[in-house]
Amino acid sequence: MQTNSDFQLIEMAVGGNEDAFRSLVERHCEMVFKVAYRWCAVKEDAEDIAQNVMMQLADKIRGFKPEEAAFTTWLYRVTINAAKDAYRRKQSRKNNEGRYANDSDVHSSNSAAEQQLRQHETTRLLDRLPDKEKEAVFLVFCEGMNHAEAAAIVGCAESTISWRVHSARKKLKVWAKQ
Amino acid sequence: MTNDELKNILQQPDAPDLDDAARERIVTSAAIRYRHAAREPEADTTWSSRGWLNTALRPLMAAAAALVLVVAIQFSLPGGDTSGPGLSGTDRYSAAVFSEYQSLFEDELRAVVARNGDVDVVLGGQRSQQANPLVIVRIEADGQPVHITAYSGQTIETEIGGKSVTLDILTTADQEVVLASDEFMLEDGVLHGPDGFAADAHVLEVSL
Repeated sequence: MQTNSDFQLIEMAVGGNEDAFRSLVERHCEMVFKVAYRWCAVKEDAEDIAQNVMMQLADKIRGFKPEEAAFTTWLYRVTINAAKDAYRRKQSRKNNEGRYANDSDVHSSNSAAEQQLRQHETTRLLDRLPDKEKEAVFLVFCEGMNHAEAAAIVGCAESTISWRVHSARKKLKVWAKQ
Repeated sequence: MTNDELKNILQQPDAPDLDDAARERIVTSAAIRYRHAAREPEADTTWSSRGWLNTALRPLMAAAAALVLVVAIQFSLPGGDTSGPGLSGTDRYSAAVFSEYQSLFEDELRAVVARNGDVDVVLGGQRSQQANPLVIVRIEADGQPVHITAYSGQTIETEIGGKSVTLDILTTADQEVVLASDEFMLEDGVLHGPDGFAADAHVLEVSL
């Protein structure tokens, strides 16, 4: 099973082969988790996002059309959308509870606290950007993609990504000085 | 600001590795979902408050789909006797999913919570009370439905309407379901709670 390509595994999974589907999930869940973590900076949230994404994969695999999008591009798109949804839910919960759960996570004393604080600060800076600009900056600068790759994931023109990065850069320049 | 300066600001430490327990949970949950994915969309239409059922022809389509769903699940449920009389398609689906998780987690399983296409499995801390009736709970807050399947006698924490809620699920001697939380209470079929809340619950007449 390990030697099968994604395309072969997808074909088998579309045909009802659960082992193929499990292999596909096992192969990609680490990547999904890491993207989610870089977006939200909280390990438990990233795990939940990864689970959500793989559930969506289970729902949609039978209708997946390789000619419309590469699998990893599709997976990236779903992950970013799931991370955005999770972030919105978390913001809503924070507003309801009137406190910031993340702050207590960050200030907890453990060996990873410093790293988590840095991650948190980066996330906070990105969070000040409008959603679409945050998405563009995240894909280009945090995930190291070129504008064309980011555009394929977001589903927009390459020039749109360029414009959003430009706009975000101007804002970040001001905020970085503060 | 140059690209390098921006990269420097946004430079991220490496993400941690996904640990084995989380990986297993993700893979197992996705595999269970994959097994049931073919029949879930029909069940989902009865669970959710989506508006598409309101158009003229779709109720007929939904009825036909529900009939197919009931027949399909009747002949394909894995393990356990989940074929009790009078069960709706949604109840059969919930029972089948709960049964799957129970076969994996046995006494550890306390509840299965479904919302927005996600399934959360509540484990540990309190032994599952399998001698008690299995209960299906549907709670809607601000238009967002949450579905819980659990044995009565459980206290579970879950997110409802963007808030963390501690919910007691109980049954009376008459097999009426009582739901109690700080936010609302359902007793004798009457819901006491804030505006925007709706809840109903019933015992699932089935043995797993």
